[in-house]
Amino acid sequence: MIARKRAGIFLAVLLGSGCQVHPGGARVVNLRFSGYAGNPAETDLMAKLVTEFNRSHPGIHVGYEPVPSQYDSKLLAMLASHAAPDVFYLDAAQFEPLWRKHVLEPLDAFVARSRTTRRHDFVGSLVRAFSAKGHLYGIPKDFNTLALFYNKTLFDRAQQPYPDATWTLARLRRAAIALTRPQARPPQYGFALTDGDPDRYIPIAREFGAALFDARGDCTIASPAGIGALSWYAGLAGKDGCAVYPSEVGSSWTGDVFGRQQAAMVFEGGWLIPYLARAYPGVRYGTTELPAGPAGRSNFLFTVAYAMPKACRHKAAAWKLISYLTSSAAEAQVTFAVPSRKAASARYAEQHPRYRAILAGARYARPFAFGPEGGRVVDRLGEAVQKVFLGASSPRRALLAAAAGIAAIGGQ
Amino acid sequence: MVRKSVPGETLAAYTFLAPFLALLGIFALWPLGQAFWLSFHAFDLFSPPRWIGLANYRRLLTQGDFWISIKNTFVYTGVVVSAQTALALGLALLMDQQLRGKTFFRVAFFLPSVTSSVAIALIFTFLFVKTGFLNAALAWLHLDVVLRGFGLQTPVDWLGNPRTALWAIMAQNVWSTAGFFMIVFLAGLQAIPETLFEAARVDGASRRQLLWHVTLPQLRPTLFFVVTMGMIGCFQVFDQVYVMTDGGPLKATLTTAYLVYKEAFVNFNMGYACAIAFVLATIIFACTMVQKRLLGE
Amino acid sequence: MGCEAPIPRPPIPRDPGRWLLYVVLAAFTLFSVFPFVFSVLTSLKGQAFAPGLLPHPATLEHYRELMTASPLFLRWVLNSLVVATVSVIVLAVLSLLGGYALARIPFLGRQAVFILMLASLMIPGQVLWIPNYATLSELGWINTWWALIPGLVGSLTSGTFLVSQFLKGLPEELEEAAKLDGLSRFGTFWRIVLPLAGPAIASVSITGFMASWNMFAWPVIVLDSPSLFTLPVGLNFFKGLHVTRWTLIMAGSMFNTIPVLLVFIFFQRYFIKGIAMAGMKE
Repeated sequence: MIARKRAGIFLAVLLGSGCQVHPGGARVVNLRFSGYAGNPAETDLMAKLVTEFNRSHPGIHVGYEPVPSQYDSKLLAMLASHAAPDVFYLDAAQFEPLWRKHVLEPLDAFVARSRTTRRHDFVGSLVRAFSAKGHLYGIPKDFNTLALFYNKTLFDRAQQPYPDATWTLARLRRAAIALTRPQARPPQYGFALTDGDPDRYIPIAREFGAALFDARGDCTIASPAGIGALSWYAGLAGKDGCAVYPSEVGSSWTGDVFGRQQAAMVFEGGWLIPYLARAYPGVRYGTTELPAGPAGRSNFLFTVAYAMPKACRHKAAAWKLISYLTSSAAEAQVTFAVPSRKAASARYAEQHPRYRAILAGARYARPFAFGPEGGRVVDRLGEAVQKVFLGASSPRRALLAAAAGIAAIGGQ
Repeated sequence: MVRKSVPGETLAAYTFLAPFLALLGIFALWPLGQAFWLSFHAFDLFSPPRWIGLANYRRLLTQGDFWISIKNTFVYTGVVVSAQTALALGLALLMDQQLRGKTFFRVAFFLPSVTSSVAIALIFTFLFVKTGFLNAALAWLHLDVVLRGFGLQTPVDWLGNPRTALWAIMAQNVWSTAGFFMIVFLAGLQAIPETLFEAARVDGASRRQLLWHVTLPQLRPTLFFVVTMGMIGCFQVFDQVYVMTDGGPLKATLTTAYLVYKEAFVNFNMGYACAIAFVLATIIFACTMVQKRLLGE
Repeated sequence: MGCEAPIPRPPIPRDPGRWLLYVVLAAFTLFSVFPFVFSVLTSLKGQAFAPGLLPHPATLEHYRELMTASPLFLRWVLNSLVVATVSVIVLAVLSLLGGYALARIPFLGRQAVFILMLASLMIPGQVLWIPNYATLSELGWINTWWALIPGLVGSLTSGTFLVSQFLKGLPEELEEAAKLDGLSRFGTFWRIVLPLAGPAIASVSITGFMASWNMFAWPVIVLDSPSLFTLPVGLNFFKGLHVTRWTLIMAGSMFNTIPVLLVFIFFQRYFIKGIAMAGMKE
């Protein structure tokens, strides 16, 4: 076994995870940087940035380790075994659970000393998504929100005006009904929705005036507004018959239904834009902000930051990498999401008009994060939505059950 | 089979077993011990484990999800193990004779167990969707009437309907393992000494008698192996659920192993996950022992 | 494809049931092969969801893209081959040794070893991830191929189990005779048991190859550098966060499926030879 161990270490050294000596003779700090492989454009850019960083910082060598799947489980195993990378992607949904475990390094001291990475350079809601008790634990990387995607061809054919920022949910429903042709081959619907996730229902519920939690932390989703929102949302596919969910047309997500032109409208994030360009380049479409509800606007903020584990041994070097990756120069090269700096995001939306709606949503969007037990909260809400779509429960009973389930989590 | 051990023999045996036992000890039994210890603790992976006695075990008895998962797991195991064993044994018996294209059939039946799991998941998702191949085929055969007789709306969204989702995953599992177990049975059949058959034939045994009195009794060790392996695999079914349904819809495919994963990696409840895992292991162990009695080791 | 059993049994008389037999076999063949054919066809399509079963026009674009889009693709194939080959050899040797001891030597603690083996197979692997990760981290094996070992211990246990079951099914006379001739334990194993164990070796090798070749969840957790990835892990790069490139995955899966199939085709011939060599059938 000892021989094996030695061989293992030898192999590790050979593969470059040990300490290397720079050609100049000085010791080199080896950093590990890890994130999930969201899409090829992103991994390519990260690899390129890391190469450039290594070239311009002779004392530091960064190894980029993209994780192709199960990122959350892997990160957890690494953090728990004190083997986390020096810099890693931190999803907004994972922030609070991990913050409570005291494994994240606060970055305030670094930010205070930096002239290029300052809090107010970044979109405010992003900074807040990674802050707790006045401390900042992650520098936002980029973000997405939901937008209303509409198919121009289908709107033209039905002689409907294109949606714009003045639209309300009621207006969306009327248009969706007008755009539905269930007898067409293939059948065509006004809207495509998700039937098993709360990721579209929650913003709608908030637009109806519902809140997930009250000031005391009790779950209040089963309020009249929350129930009304779920009835409205499920009604699109039910009594209105103007919406379809992906599995009904043999698809796995609403963006794909949109690409196949079987739904004239969907609520999707900016990730749909490159997908359409490659998989369905013929589709003529536009984007605008999510329609407002009776109680105003809401949206989800999907965002990721660069973070550092508390156990990081090369904090100064890790900070150099973080500030390099979030520099204006680096953010100018992002092509797959909206960059996190205010200036870069504004420029981005100018260059890519379809992302304007995504940027606009960020003003009032709330992070896709549900507290320290977020995973369970999302589960319970998803179940409620699913029950209603499957006809297993009324919106009221489903949400009451979800609220009771969420309350029980706190007690455990 | 039980014979007295001899000291010298014991040493020899452990020499043969040493490398295997070392690996088993370090990477299976040691973590197993740790998991057992953790099942009596509250452990969130980060703060030090806190002793809470039997609280994890008490909690799972009262948690609805645990019981749902146990029910699903039992249905899954019962159906899949019997179906795949029967199918595999039947095919192996059919093939254990002079046949044209035997190699071809063997390779064809084995194909499902080597097709990559990602590809299988996608292919079956394709087959099972509402607009998919399965519904089209059933409608073409006019079998959709039968489905409606069961109160299902046709076309069926196989993975999206709580009444069919578990069955769809079971079908996928039977499909992908039956061929493999057939090969195992075939190996077992070919190891039966021909002399036994000849002796029986001389005694005037019919083909059916040969099957019941020579083939099947001789196959016992293989049968034990196939059923045990099938059971262990099915009781721990995780991959298919993880890839295809995430335990849904409405917990229809929530299996115990998937619940373990969720508690450990999504809910940070390592101690509780370990307790569930041990209850499941105990159940599997008990079932294996019953099985061992039945098939007589 | 005409590889018949080496020792011909008396031909079975032609009866009408034989046609039925072929119909049943053909039906099951269709059932087994269809998904594989489906994935071949999908890999040749321009778009994964293009309507119809047949690709038109058929394109090798995705295969070309595999080579160019990811510079590491061939490396992953090679890594998988190396890992699988080494695993198969180690698995076969260790399971033969262990299986022999369990089947043939009456030793103290045999029952306990058997029970521990079974127990280790019965615990859901997910709870072992964290403790095993910690052990590997202590050993300094994270991000090396040594870290894959825990992912294969299950195969080793079931392989040992399989060999022992197989040997128990063999008559013991030859070994008894060898013992009387004064052959040592190891001599008996080497000269008598090993030549008879062909089919078991084939089974353990095939299952071991499959387990190693398809190992997925564990390598993702313990391997960090893409240059060390095996093929199933690497293929997931084409499965993005929101968007999956099915055609590329299907094309890549061919590299994943075909080698295992070849191994099987190769071993299954050997399989039959092994039985002939064993000389158990007169």
